[in-house]
Amino acid sequence: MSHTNLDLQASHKMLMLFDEANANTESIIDLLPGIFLIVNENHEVLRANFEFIKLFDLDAEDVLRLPLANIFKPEGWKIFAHNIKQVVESEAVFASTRFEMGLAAGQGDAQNQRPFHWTLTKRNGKNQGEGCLVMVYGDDISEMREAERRLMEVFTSIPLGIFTLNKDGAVGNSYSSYLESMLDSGKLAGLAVEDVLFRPAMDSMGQDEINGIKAIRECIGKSELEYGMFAQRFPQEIFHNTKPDPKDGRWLKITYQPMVFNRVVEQLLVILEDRTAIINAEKEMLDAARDREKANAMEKQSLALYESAIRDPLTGLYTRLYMKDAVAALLWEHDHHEIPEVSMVIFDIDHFKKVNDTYGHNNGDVVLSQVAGEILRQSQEPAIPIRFGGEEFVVFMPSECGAAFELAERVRKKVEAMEFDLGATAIRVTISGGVAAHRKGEVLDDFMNRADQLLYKAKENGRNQTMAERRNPPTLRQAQGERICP
Amino acid sequence: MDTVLSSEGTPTDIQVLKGKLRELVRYASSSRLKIHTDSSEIEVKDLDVNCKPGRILANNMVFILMSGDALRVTFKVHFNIRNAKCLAFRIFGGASPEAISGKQAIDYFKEYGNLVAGSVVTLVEKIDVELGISLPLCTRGFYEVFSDYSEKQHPIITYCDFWKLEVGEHEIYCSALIEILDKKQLGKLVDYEIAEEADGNDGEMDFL
Repeated sequence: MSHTNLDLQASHKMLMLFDEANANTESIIDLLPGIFLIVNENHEVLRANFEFIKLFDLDAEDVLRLPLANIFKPEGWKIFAHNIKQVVESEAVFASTRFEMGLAAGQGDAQNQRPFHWTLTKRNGKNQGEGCLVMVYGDDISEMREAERRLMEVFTSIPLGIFTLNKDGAVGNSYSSYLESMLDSGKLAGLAVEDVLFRPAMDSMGQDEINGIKAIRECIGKSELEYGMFAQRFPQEIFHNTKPDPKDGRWLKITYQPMVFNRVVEQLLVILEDRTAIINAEKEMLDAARDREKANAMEKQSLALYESAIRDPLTGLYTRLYMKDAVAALLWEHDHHEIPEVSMVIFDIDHFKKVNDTYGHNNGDVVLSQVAGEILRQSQEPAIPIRFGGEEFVVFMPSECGAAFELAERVRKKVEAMEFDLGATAIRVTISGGVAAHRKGEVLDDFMNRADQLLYKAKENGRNQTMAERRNPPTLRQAQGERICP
Repeated sequence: MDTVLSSEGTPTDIQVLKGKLRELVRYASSSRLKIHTDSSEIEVKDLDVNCKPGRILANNMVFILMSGDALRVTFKVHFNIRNAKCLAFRIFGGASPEAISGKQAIDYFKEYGNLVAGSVVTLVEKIDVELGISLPLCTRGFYEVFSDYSEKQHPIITYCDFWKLEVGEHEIYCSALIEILDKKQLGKLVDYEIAEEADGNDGEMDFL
């Protein structure tokens, strides 16, 4: 085969490869996502991808020279044609414009109109037959818009006030339905940040605070590196109230987020959190805590008062005041069969007047105190030891008469054995006691009276002894004189 | 007025030469279409005067190059697949145009390009001009916008021609970019009269 023929074969092979490559490239263009069109200066479609053909249910063979105006609604077409004109007339290399416009597929029903993002790019150079060519890219952004709408729903349902500040320090976009009610204002867009957020509080602010507010406006348009310097002066909280009653005001926590583009703070995102409820709750909690403290103090005070009222300061025994309540309850329980027995001992220190007269009241008090201490030690719960008055002591106990007698005897023997150190001298004293058992239905005075009479007998009998009823009568009606227990 | 010397050295109007070449290519296009469509009713028509060079004429185009020392002709046939199917289905033995695939429709016009080129080569051989033929290629008609049809006189005479062929209710468009590389070699063409051929076996299909 000649050299020329081989060259020819090679060239033919190259052409076949080119043919195949061209077909592949064309199919790639056909399958481009979104709408891809090439239109001439007369707005006729010269090339279209499959998605466009499918969107308008066209026959691929009929697309050539389809007037582009046919796919738009008249008002939409005016905008589109205007953009094409701008691109065609632009002297810029690869002049391009982007815009958003709805496109209704099919019959142009407004309900089917979907948002599209359009990019028009001019192909430089003019062709005699078609004039200037414009490439049209259309992206269906309805899904993106839907996602944005959902996001906005989320945004607006967040109980925060969110808005942007533009370069001029005016409110740009607001992203929260709470914002307007938070700031007691209707339309916010375009209003100065000072008026929207900081008035009227700003009128009574100091210079430092006012400078902080000015810094909000000043930081926009500055480098992101400088932002921090401004941000540290921004107010972090404001009491916002446009109404006469302070109760109508709101405590707003303010957070700032710079929106940086090309390292310059283009906008400022301001996030407001209504902390009124939290602050009010904190105040209420604080007030409640103070009230609780007061109440505790008062309770302690009244407890101390009560304690001092029911406790004899000298002996530590209960007073007659306590006796009334506590013993009345004890007797009631006995009367109502809740406890089987109640008995009492009444003590009196023998010849105590002589001790007072001889050694003085102070020494008398020493004796009283130590004897009372012994009564207290011997009276185990639930016995109720009481200083009845002077040198007289009473012990009530929910037990039968024998137990009361034993208690009285233990006390008597202990006191008999005690030596009272009065400084210059030491003395000994004795104690006498009367023991009685409560009779159901018997009042306290009668009960005590019987015990007192037994004490009197003990004194008469020579003192330093205990006199008790012979046995514990079950009822008042069965009572018969005094006896010695058991 | 541009002039060129004929092979005998007679000054010849360059416009005549250009016209002869136009005529030759148009003739080849119509005569081969008759064969290729098996139709005797082919009409050759000029395009509308408003149709400027570079205008897209159809959705697809097949182009083929005939090239030699004296002459270079780029012939393009512009067609829509729908038309191509209508013209091709009988040749392919299909029952209807719908039975023809898009690829078959394209192959049909590639073969047509081949036939036209072959015819042009045969015709110019008679005036001792040799041309080689490229493979026919097919691409979208849109790419016509990138064609350069500007007329030139030096060093190569370049000009173009556009016409329409009507086959019954169907029409296809043709264009040719003709580049005269050596006027002298084409001198004989001035006096050459294109005669109707007796078409022998030219109607046989020879697909690529």
